[in-house]
Amino acid sequence: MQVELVNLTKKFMGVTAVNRINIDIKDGEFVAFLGPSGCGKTTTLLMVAGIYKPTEGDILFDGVRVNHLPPKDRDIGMVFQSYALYPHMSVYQNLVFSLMLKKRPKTEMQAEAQRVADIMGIGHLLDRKPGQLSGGQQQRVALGRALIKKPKLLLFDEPLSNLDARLRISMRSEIKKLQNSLGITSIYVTHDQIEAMTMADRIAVIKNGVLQAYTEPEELHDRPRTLFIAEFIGNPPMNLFDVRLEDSGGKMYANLGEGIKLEIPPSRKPKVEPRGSVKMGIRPQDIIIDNNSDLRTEILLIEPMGRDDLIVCRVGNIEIHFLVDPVLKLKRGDSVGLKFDMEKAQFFDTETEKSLLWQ
Amino acid sequence: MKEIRSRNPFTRSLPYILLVVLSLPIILGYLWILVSTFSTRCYGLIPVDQQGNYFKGLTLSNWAFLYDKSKTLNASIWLLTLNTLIIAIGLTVGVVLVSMMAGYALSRIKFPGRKSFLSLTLILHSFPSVTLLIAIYFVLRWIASVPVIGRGIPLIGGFGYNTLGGVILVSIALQLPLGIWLMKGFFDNVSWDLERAALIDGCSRWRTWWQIMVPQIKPGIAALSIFSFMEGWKSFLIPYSFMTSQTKATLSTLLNEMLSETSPVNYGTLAAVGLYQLIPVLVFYIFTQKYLLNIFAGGVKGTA
Ligand SMILES: Nc1ncnc2c1ncn2[C@@H]1O[C@H](COP(=O)(O)OP(=O)(O)OP(=O)(O)O)[C@@H](O)[C@H]1O
Ligand SMILES: [Mg+2]
Repeated sequence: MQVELVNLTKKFMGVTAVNRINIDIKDGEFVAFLGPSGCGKTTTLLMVAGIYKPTEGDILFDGVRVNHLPPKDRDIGMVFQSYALYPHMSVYQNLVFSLMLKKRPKTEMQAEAQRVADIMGIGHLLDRKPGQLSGGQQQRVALGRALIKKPKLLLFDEPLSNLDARLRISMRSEIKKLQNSLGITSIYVTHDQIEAMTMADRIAVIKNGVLQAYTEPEELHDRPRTLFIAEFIGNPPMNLFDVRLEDSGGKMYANLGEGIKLEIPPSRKPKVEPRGSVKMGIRPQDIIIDNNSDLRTEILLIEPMGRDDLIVCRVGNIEIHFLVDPVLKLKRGDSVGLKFDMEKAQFFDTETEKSLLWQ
Repeated sequence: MKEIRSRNPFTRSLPYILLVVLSLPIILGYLWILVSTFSTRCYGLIPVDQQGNYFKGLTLSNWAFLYDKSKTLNASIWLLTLNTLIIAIGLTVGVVLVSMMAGYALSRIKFPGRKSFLSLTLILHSFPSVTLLIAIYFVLRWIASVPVIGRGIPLIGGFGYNTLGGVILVSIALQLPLGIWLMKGFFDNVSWDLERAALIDGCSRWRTWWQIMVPQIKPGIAALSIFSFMEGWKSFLIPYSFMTSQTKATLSTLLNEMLSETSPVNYGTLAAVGLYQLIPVLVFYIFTQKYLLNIFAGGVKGTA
């Protein structure tokens, strides 16, 4: 099913939780809503579900306005962060509840329950009550309950955030695979950017109820349109410096202060006329150790992150984060030279916080 | 945690001694009822026979009221028991039904006047019912004049003055503030997501309420039912004020009549009737106190 949100707005007693959001979702697409806590993700999702009525704007399913359609007539399935299984019903009853309401014959209910139980691997749990299941099992049942209706749209509200890290990763790929094979249009709300980056075809970044960007994960990562996106996307977060742009001899330099002056390659020259100082961003993986470099610093802190070590160092008042290979066996206090890969640098206007490279 | 405890056995037992001394009159009262029920006469707590011999004169004759109308001012004890039961059950059903619906609405639905309604019910709850008696009297008199509803309904008589239904109606009204607040509190503890899931699964609002929400607050409903039943069973003021005819009285009003009789009061029978009224409450309490505790714990135990 194709979904379109047009100028969607929700106000709670004068407080605007969602502000004129425009999103179109293609049939079979997997879209993530990403944003910090309280930015209006759940509110948007609940409007799509029909639980909240929009204050303004429209919701279109396959081109038909559904603003006033009650949830039960929207052909949707939803998975909640709290699982929201009916505690007084068995797993089987939870699964077939929606079919029961539609007065389907018993044989069909049993067959359907068996079908989703097989997909989700919960066949052996059908007689249990939700209280007797682990969090991961409950989430599988919740997913099964959403799938049994064969919905045209699946809504996920942070479905994995109550699970432990390991389970989260395996469920992540499982949901993605399932969505792929069933081809159900899906909206997935999360505040975990890794989840959004790995699962979604497109990501809608929301901040304070306003849509910041709506595009593919790589685009968000490589060509952030605003400072907020640059800071929010990517792990570990991007380094941000206040720099002064200087022209000399036909070349452009970024002056970070403390005697650090970096040449900006032509491909990264700001397309918009900058006003005074600007923000320069560079990801920790784009700073490398080069002992021939003039830029020398001492290691303050080493944070092992598994595949890489995150190194924190300081030049004067400037703190720099970068990633190194753990085999280098660097220690605190070691002196290293640094090289910035300026082909990956980002520039933002200090006032508008808009990118000076991508508009 | 380190336990703070006084070494001195005297200071340690002082609270207990104090509690026992303070509750002694009540305990002695119940003991007296028990003893005098089964004895001809009593000197204090000691049963005596007609000749004044200590520890003699044990008898079951005080329980003759169960079949002998003359012992209970010519009112049939069984009819009065039935009346009391009808009031208790009627009150329970009414309070629980209305509180479940009102509590849900107040907990979940935003409507104009919700806040003021909540504070109003709280004020009503703290109103002493005595002050309302005269006003209620006029209302019941008026209802009595309405055809059928007034005094034309079998079993409860109707909802007017001098009917069981009237007493039930008034008792429900007085009990509702507590019930509504209690149910609202229980509903408040049920997750919104549960309700949303039901709506998405295809439930109507009513069905969500009945099939998904109500089962979550069963402990609360049990507690409120028990509480209301006991309230109805022992209620005195309302039946006493609004039911005048003997045949429609309750056990409480009978006890009061017997006590205020002009001829010498038969304490033996009085105690027996009192105990008779008390037995169901005691039995009920023993089996249901764990649900009653829920009222004070004030919440659903978390499952999922
Ligand atoms: N029913 C409501 N009444 C009043 N305000 C609300 C209501 N629901 C949400 N809000 C407000 O709207 C804003 C957005 O809330 P929302 O639940 O959509 O955030 P979210 O992005 O889902 O956050 P989280 O990641 O914490 O779940 C918040 O400021 C919240 O306080
Ligand atoms: Mg949320």
